[in-house]
Amino acid sequence: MSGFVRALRIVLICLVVFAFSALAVTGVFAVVGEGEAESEIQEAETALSSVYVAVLEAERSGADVSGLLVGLNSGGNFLAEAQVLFRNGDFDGAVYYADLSVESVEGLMDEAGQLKTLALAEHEEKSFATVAGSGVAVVVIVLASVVGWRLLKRRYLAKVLEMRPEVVKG
Amino acid sequence: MNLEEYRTVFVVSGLILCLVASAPTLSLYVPFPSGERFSELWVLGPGHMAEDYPFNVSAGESYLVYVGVGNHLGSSAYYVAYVKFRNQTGTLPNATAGTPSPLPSLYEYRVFVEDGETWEGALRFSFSGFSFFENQCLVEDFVVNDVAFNVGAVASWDEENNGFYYQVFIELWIYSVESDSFQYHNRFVSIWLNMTG
Repeated sequence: MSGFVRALRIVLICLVVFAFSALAVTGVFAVVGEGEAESEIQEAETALSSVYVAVLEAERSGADVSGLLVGLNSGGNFLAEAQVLFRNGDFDGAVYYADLSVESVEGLMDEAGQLKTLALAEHEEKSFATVAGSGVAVVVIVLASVVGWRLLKRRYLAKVLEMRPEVVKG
Repeated sequence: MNLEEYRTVFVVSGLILCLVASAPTLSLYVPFPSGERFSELWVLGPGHMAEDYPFNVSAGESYLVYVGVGNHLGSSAYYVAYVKFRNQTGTLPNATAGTPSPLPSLYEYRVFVEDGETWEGALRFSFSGFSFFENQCLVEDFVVNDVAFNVGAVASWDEENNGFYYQVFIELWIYSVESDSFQYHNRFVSIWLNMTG
């Protein structure tokens, strides 16, 4: 009888230890899973917003950013999916999509920087051509006006000098 | 015309021509006034038209509407459209105060829209776990684009309009570079739904 009680006690102790360790393990995993997912999502958010700021700067410099926006939209779709899964408690899925989001915008920052540099150089070139063109046009107009004025004045004076007083009979 | 008048004509026409010639250069440095800057948010029925919106809904059926965003802000914009669900007592966004609804967002769309462009996305939704008791209706799950959200929303019988009414609404948020965060853009659209079982 005492042997049965001892065996029962051992089984009970084992069960309690197993139950506690199972709870501890799942609890720890759940916390790590959620925290990890949150940080991955945060990372994806930062990646997307940084690329967006770079794209905006390129756009303000006059670059055509349509191609970059396609990549950003792809990243945005994945990030939205990650957020939705995170809210629903699917942390594995959230991490998966957050990673995809980061991957899909990789390289876009450099591309935006290159486009910005190109656009600035192009803008500078265009500005120079415009300013030079305007300057030349203004100089030509001023010179033409001065020459034209002198010619007109000469003709006018010559015409006046050629005039003879008329004698009017009273 | 005497010589003095000729000179005036020459000076004035010369100045006008100089101004015309320098206009391209001026346009590089003088900003021209632009039109009103704003964003659009809309919801359309299954035929991409403002008609045939789902209204009488039941469990197991799937419904389709389209959410759209238009950008007229003068540069590309980063938007988030949050999909929320409420019963008659849930709080809507406050247009006067410019504050969003405190209800949790369920689904979301993240889109980058170029200036002068629009974006449209499908919003397919259904419900599961309907139950009716006395004068109340309980919706357990709201499914959006194949993702189920446990909402547990109870609606009381609306005697005036004869139905159990819920509302799906979409809020528009925009990313602000200055604050490095999303801000409520003070726009929302919604559709009313009557749960019929």
